[in-house]
Amino acid sequence: MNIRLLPLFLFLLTLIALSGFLYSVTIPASPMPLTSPTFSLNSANGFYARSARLFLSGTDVTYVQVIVYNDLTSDRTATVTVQIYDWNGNLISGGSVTSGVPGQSIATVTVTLSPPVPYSSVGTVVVDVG
Amino acid sequence: MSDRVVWVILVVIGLALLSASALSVLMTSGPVAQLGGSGMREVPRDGVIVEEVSLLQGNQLDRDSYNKIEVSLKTSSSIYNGPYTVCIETNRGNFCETTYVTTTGTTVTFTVGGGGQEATVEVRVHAAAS
Repeated sequence: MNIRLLPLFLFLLTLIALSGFLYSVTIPASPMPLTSPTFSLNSANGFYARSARLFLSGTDVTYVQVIVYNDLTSDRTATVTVQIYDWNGNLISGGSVTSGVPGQSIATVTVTLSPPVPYSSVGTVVVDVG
Repeated sequence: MSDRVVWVILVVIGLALLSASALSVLMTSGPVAQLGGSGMREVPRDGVIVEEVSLLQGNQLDRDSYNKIEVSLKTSSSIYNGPYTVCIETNRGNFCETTYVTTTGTTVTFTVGGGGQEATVEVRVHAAAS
């Protein structure tokens, strides 16, 4: 290859490397999701999942408090199930509890997770009441 | 310039572009978000913890409808305290608010379209340092 072309090669490589660097710096500057757990609140049979709260011990989520509303006038027993999925959609933890809920009132139900899971691995929290 | 030299230049340009693209993809993936704004900073996925998601009708939990979604967050360490843009993706649209998040916790209330609670309510939360 002609040695006179070497400066041209160097110039082109520098230009391309610079544009690649600028591109890679510019892309992350747009807001990126930092935390993105999804809460899925599922309701059935006149019971409504109104709230879900994660409780941590250190970095692990150990239990979930769910607030359930009973839409009927009579006192009833609700089944509350919590399932935790990781970022790949794998079920990694869960628990289930039954609890009495007064008519047209709310009850706070605590579901202990087995096993406890690191918060950083929690992709989706699925709550079912019914 | 001979055809061979032109061909070599094109190959070099192609390889450089390919490596620059691969580099930019590598820099934008992974659990660590590199965030823009004044003073770039990196926050791990569990730097901000989404503790609770609640559905409210006005300020009431004991209802079968909702027009507000309340999200409680906190930072896992004071080194991550700061302003964040908190966004939610829900059945009723996507919303964002900017708030200051600390280790003691912050609650963000999003006003959404009113109506009866769906059988499944999905709330996906994002927080990005702003």
